[in-house]
Amino acid sequence: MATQKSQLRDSPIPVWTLTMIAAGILAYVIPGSAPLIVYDRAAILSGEVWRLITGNWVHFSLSHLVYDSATLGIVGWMIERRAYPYYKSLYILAPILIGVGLFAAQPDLQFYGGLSGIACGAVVYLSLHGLREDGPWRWFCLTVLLLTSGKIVLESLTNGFAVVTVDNIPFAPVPLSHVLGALTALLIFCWPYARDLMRLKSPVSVREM
Amino acid sequence: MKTARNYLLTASLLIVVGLSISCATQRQHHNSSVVDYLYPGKSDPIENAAIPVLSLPIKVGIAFVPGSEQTRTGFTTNFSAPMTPPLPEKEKIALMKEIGDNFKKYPFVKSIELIPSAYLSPGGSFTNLDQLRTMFGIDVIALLSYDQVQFTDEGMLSMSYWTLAGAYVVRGEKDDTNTMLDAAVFHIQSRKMLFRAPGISQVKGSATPVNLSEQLRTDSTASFHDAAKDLVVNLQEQLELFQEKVKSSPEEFKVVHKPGSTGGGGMDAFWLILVSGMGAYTLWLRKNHN
Repeated sequence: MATQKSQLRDSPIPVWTLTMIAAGILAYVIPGSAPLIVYDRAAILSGEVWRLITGNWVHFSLSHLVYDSATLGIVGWMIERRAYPYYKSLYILAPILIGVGLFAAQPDLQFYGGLSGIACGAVVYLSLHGLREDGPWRWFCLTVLLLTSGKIVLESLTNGFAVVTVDNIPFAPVPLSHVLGALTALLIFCWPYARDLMRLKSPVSVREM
Repeated sequence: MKTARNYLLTASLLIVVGLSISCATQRQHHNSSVVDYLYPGKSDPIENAAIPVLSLPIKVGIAFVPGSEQTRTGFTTNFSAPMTPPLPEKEKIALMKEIGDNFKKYPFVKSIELIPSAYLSPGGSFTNLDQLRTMFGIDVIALLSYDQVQFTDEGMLSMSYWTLAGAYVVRGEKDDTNTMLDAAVFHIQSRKMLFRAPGISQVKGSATPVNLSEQLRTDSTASFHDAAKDLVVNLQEQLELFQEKVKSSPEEFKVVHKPGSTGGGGMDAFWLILVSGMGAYTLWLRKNHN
């Protein structure tokens, strides 16, 4: 894997990241919007399939919104600033894969909301790209990646640390959303390598060589 | 002359007896009743129900209420077909599974427990239901009751089934098997009936005197399964209506969500510190870069 120097771009506005956060804030502040877009398994089964995706932008409390938005904001800013390839795919694919994955693998979950799956995916995506860079940043990213992996494993083993009550709704962390976010990041990170590998193995490529 | 008169008398007597046997009205009847089970010995069943708190997703139990003794009415002889046995336990389990399988798909249903008849005591009432709630961990129970009548002659016979919501009357025809299955869904803790639905079946008789008893048994089983199919359709309709009712009448039903049924992807201080460190390093790098 070839290493490269950090390529920091000056003052690009992280449009995609800000859009994601703004959507989350709007869903929280506009009265009556959250019930229409929250991941609601019963409603999804009744045909309201958009909830699989839009549920990622619903938050159940202010602290929930602040933590998720702040984490995604910082990581997203770093990703867009470095202009890593396919980062837009992460923002498009992660909400879909998280929604569909939760629906398929966690039938007990009736309601879900939060940007953290996408945020977790962004952390993994940033760290994986950081491994290709020179200098201390590479080691920084390796440490973050190891800590993130450890945290995800720990969350999955304990199935979330605690059950808290928000607006009389018992609310539990969903580690699977973090796993799905991380897997999406890994998929997008590996995609260029997989594509190059396929090109090399194809007969056309061999003839061309 | 006297001999001829005796022959005539004997012949007349035989004809009368023969006609009596062949035209005798017979009816086999076996049933079970939710009313008898929940309110034994009460002519005017009144139960003060509390406001049910539906803790989603719910665990649902399905059980047949104990049946009463089967009866046969009408003229019977040694040549009459033997009575078909009451609904055997194996068939009850099969029917409960048939009904339960259609409700597993609902996301607010966590699990469905098929409760064997041995756990329900006749006239057990809500005390028995409380025991089932503890034993099986169920919140809601669908109590199934049935009424099956098999007619072996034409007449003004009919089947009348008394449910908590009123009486059903079904006309009977010759060799017909009429079955009614009734499901009353109760929230055990509040003793409140959430909704109910019937399932009705009529299997037309096609038996000959030679295979009458065998055919009656076959019709009995087939009729129960037909009624179960009808019951599932009606239960689904009633369930839809009930869901609307829960939404429109929050004062009548309280819905809460069990821990774990609502979840969120939540970042915490750990993540925030981690990415803040990365952000701070990036800013430091930018400063040095410039």
